[in-house]
Amino acid sequence: MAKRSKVTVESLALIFSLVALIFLYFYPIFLLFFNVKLNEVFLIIFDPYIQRLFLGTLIQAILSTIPSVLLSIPVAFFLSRYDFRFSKELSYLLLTPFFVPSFATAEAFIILFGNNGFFNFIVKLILGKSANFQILYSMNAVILAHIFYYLPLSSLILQQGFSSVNKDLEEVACLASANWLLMAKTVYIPQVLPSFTAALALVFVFSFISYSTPLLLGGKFTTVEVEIFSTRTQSSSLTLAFLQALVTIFFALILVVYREKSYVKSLSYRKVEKKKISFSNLSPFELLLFIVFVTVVFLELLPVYVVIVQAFSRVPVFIFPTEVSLENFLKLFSFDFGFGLSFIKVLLYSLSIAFLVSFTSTFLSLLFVFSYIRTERLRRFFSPFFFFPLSMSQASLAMSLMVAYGLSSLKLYGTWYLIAIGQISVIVPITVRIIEVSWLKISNEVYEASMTSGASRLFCFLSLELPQVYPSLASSFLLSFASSLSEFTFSNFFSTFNVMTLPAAVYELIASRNLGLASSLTSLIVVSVMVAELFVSKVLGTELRVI
Amino acid sequence: MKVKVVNLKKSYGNVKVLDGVSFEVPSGKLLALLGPSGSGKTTTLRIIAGLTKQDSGDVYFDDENVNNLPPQKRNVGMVFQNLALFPNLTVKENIAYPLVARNVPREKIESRVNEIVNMLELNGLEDRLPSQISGGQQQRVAIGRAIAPNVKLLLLDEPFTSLDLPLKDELIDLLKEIQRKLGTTTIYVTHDEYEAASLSDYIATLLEGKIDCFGETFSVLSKPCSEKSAKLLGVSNMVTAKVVGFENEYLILKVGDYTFKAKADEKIINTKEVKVLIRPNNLELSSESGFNATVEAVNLVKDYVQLKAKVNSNFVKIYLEHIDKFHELKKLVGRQVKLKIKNENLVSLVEFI
Amino acid sequence: MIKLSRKQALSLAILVILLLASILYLNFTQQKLESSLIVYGPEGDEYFAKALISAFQKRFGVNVTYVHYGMGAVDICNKLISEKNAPQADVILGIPDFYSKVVVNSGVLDTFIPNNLSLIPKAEVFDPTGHVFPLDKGYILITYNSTIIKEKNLPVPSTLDDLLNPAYKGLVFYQDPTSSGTGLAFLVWVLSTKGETEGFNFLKALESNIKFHPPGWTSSINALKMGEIAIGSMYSTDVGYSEVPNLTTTAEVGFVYREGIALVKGAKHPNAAKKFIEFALSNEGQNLVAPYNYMYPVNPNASYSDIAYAPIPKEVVTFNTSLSGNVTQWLELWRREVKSQ
Repeated sequence: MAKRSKVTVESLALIFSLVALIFLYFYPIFLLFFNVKLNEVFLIIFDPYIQRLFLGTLIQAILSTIPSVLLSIPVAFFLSRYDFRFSKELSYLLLTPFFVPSFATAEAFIILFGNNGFFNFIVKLILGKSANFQILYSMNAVILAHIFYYLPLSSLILQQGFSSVNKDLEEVACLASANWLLMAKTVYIPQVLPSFTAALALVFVFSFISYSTPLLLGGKFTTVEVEIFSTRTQSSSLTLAFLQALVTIFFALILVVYREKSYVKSLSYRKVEKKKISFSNLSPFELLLFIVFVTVVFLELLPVYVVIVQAFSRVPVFIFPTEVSLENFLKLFSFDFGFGLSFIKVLLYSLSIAFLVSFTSTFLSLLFVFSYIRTERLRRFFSPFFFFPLSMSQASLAMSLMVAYGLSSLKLYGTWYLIAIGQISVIVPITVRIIEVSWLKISNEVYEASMTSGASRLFCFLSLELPQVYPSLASSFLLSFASSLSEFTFSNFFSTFNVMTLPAAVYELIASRNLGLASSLTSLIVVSVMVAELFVSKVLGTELRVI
Repeated sequence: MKVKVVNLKKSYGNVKVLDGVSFEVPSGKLLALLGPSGSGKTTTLRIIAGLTKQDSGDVYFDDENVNNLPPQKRNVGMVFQNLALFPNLTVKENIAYPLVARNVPREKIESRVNEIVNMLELNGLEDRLPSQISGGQQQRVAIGRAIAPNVKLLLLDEPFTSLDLPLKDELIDLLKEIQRKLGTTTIYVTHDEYEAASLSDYIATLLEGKIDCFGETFSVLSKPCSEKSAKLLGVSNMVTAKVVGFENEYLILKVGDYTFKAKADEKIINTKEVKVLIRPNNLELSSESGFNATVEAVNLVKDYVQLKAKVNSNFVKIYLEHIDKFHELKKLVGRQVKLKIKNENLVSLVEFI
Repeated sequence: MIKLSRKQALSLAILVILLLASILYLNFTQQKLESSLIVYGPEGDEYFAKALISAFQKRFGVNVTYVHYGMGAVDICNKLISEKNAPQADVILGIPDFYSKVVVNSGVLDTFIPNNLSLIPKAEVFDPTGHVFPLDKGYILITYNSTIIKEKNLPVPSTLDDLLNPAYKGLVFYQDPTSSGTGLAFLVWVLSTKGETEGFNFLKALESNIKFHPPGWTSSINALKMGEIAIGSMYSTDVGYSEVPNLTTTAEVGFVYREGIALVKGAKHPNAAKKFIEFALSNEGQNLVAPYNYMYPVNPNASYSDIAYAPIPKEVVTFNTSLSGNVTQWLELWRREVKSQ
């Protein structure tokens, strides 16, 4: 009797994956928890200042989430139900703010809403010279920036929900002469509710753990993430990081359970066919939707536009460039970023780290997915697991990586490794999702057919699965590249004179209000990110899934 | 290669799918495994292929227990219900795939693929992708891929379900021809009794997780072992008859005025009544003796005329081949007729009361 | 069966080459930097530091790299403290006098006696432990944007208490003391004038006139240029600064801000580091303070003619030594009770 071999390629991949997971997440988090004293935790929990901090962060997150999701409803509905000329291109453009680094949005806000910015110009024009529209450096500015930044994400999730509505039910309700309200109550709302809830939950979590936006626009308003960074030299910072990690893990747990129980099932409905419309014969409702959609796209792209225009302008910009010049770009080449590094060196550092991070993230994600995709039990664990690092506090993760690898015997602090490890840890959950969605399209029977054809697991992977997931690998690579180029938290935490990345350079320029140079640097990042995003959107479309 | 399964059991949660399945397929023969949807046919096939692990029970290939052998090592060819052709490979590459996977030398692969392509009449389509060929051609490719490596066992899981009738008949004939030519032991899963009847050497009916009837096609079809299997096999006519005597291994039975005989294995002395199964094409209209029946409906089924009549409280169907006499027979609706058994040796006794 | 098209093979090859190039570049450039003498300092001192470094390099032929981080002097001090177990720098300059105790107590500095310490008057030495040596000093004043004051028809601010005027709502600023030495100087000025309790009460009341706290000197200058802020604490040498021409002051009162330079414990190049510190205290080094840092040299032999234009405050406030001096606690209190009201 022949015995089944226990050691398979999949089990080797699984072992390697587990080691990687332990290295990236479990070990650092464990050390963070291990290094914190319980009495300090209690002290911090009952500290009124910390309580105010958490409350402020929570309120800000709630107030960012609700308008963001509500405003995305008409946009998502319109994109999921109607097909029109340039609809694809516009929907890609709508995704842009989500890919563009958040500090670019903050930068644009400073330009637009500053005392001498465009909005105050209009306010002064209407209300007189003494009038002033003060929104910057407050919780309101952070909320507004979050709405801008997360609306596209919310729209993407809702689109997936709206386009998965069961058309049969819709038609039955229609034939039963149900009015619009009844249709909404019995057909749309129950079926879209999972996506709606997912969008709310995700935007809330991301707003809660947002870092660069409150850092740049919060002024006196501080969030927990910023506080962890500000106090990182103090022991209390580790305790706060521990607490923040617990809170965000709790949020993630709820999200994961919800995702498995409701959200994933809701995506299994048949896709609704889009109605083709032309601009010459829109109904009033369609016209309204179209106007809302175009307005939102315009407003979403405005920050990106402003940053790019500022880059090409010698003087502060309103909306249109006044003195067009390449001076800001040329200044970059002679600018010293204070680390003894020239712009070219900083650029090469960023590109090198981005390449390494992209390659490693994509490879690791491929390995992870390969190890679990064909085993139902493993898939049920791993697939939701990767949502945890996505929604976990990055400041906490940074502190844990610092403890685990930065200042430990490995002494990785001061090297590019720590920045790369941090970036990989937050990019992998997204690339895993992209590759997994693509891989699941390959039916299990194809895989079984290859097995019964005598193919080994590895042969099946190389000959059948890899060619079919190749577009998702390319998308993952590009997305990782763009994310690494614009990643801010770990760059900020771990940068030293040895390593400086573009986002860290941009942050210094923005914080010191050197907006011309900041814009030129940001616009370089933004353009590269947009090119990557265009490719990813073309390949994956609305199947780009974050949750 | 002989295939034997012994007492296979498999549950999914609380649902018992297989509850002790046992059968044996002699070498070079085709077994049709027939059962309704959800009866466990596909599960049985998957266990034999090694794709699903049974909870208990054994699978033997030529007396060798293969329970622990992975699918890649079982030398089995399988045609899936959804075909599972490799979308990124051409027709030629799909057929060659199992040979490449087994590291067969390139020249041998070339010649074998050409042989299969010719056998399955796929000439001219070698470089096309599956998405570029028709459904029927895809079926052939799936069969070609399964038989390419000279497998010892061929498994087919309802491969022709989604095809229209002419194409199905064509492919059934082709499969029969190939199977006989290659002499490969084959297990064919279906819920269609016509497919089972036309293809197989042996039939097994799978009901409620167990094999109900098993045997050579002719004997199973002509004398189903139970009422449920009979229904599955399309033997739906059942009549309750009085036992009036026993003579020379035959029971003398009576329905109304009509007396007929049925072979019985043993003398049933105290039996008063039996339930009798009669195949629809084992009845004919008679002007002399027969069951008194009232014609309820006359329909066309494929190229047969089907007469539906009521005998006592039972409905029976009979198939008459006189398709050209359809209009004439239609006039019998509502009228009394006599139905006579053509061959008493093909009457089955299923229940003794 | 496992086939790569020419395009795919080429892409894969390019990918692998780029990958190897990235690894080599990152490791290679890292090694190169490690052969430099590393000097940490605030961004605001960068101009001066580079001039100092250039002169030092010419004199001694030692490769030096200036590293600034974050927005201000306190930020770079905090970074040094965070690197205690893995020191990256050899020298740190720009340590504010009242933060020097925090840095010294954290154990990240080393002591030595510069050969030319006698050049510096004892009165200028603010660290009795011998870790931090005086580098330069300046005056923090209450400055204002005269154009905005005129436009809005506001009274001219002169004293700390003037800043509480409700008419100045949204226009007042001082730098974030948790990241900026200038901001910390303002905090200490307020406490030195009013005492700790009254001082914090004053700062809490002042918050209602403040929109945000710029993280450092450079961001303050740029924010003043953009018109985001108009009245607040800046250096006396900023008045008349060409980038902010409307910045002016009544110079009624000012606070002395001192900076120091020190040797980092565990420095990879201790000898070169000591030489650098001695050079900074020398006549040659101190002559660079006024023209490049817009501060006053501590070496009386050095010239400060370049900043002769700067107003000297009529009343000068120095650090009140009767205060607890517990800067860490002050900063914590400021963050918790002043900023986050």
